[in-house]
Amino acid sequence: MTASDPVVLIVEDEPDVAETYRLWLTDSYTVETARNGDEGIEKLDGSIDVVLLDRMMPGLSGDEVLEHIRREGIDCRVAMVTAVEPDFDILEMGFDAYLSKPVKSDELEQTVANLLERSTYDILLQEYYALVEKRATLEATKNASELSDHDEYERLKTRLDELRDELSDTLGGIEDDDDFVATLRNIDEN
Amino acid sequence: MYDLSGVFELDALTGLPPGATVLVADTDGADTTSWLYDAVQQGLEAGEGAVVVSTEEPAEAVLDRLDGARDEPQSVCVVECQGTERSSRMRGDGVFVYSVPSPDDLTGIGLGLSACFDRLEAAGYESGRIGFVSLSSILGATGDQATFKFAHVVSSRLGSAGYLGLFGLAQPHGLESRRILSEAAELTVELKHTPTGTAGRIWQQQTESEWHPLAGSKR
Repeated sequence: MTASDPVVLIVEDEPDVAETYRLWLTDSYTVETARNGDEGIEKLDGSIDVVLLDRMMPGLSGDEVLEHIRREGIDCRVAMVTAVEPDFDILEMGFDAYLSKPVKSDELEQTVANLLERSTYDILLQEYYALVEKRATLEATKNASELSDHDEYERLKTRLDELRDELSDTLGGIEDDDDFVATLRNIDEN
Repeated sequence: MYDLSGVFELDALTGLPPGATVLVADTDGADTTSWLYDAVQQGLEAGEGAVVVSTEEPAEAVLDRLDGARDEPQSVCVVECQGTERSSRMRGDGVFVYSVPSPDDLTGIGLGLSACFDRLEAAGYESGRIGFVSLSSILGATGDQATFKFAHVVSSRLGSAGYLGLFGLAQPHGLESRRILSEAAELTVELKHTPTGTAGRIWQQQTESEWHPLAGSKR
């Protein structure tokens, strides 16, 4: 791991399980661990990108930690780790992904990678909007010949073309409903 | 391929690929809603499925506007902005309805759309038209930024589902908002009043076509 790696926080009360996850992730990510929900909340700051949250823990449950994250508007992605296949609609619950125990290493790596890709999508979408808004303002205040001589306008158009491509490459441009709803939730929260 | 030229007689609207999205925007208070319903209705008549996201009217009013719903209730789903919490129900006639409390609940609208896509797929519909009546309420409730992102993300989702998206945008809205939202759709149909009825033109890639009278403009 290096200082610029994404940061994953594992909140898990079973030390062996937490250590297993840490070993699987440590090559690609900076990994932090918390032994219960309270410690998890203490460690949650702006540096955390993805939280792996055990649902059933003594003290604060995973659901309560998630509620705290959403209420405080902490900008991170949350994968809930559950002992049994959830019987509820996971999209309704407000977390971004779930994993059923026992979690396999490739499953864990894939989930973390997908959640980070969603964050990338959100950042690109924000830049895309900012440029579209800027272009609309220029078009509303300048006529066609002024625009054709306008360097910034040309740069905007070039970058917009690039962003369209980057967005359709990221997440395959929102192919499934989990990505779809999670992306909309992020818009609602910001 | 989807064809909207039977509703709007504009050349650009023939042969729209699956996943295309069209913004239907008025420029001076011309009615966009009935045009949007006509486009959805025509899809139903061609055997396609339909989802209507209705920000103002309840599902009952939506279904009154669509004849196709009576013949094939499983072909139509409605997302309405009514009530106080997210919920879903199956009407007695077999039409699926998802309710969200208000047009600023974008997550809820997304959940409703996902549920509707599942229904259409289960009923065997591989193509369908998704009408938003209208983005104006979402714009009023959440502003340019959230509405643009919403329309973009919905367009992307429709792209992978292969449905045709139709976003209605009525007054009041400013020109800048319209131009911003145009970027989230493949192309924009702009409507205006004329002494002889409604006229339409295409806005695409920062270029507008000439205005054409629309023959369906008995409205």
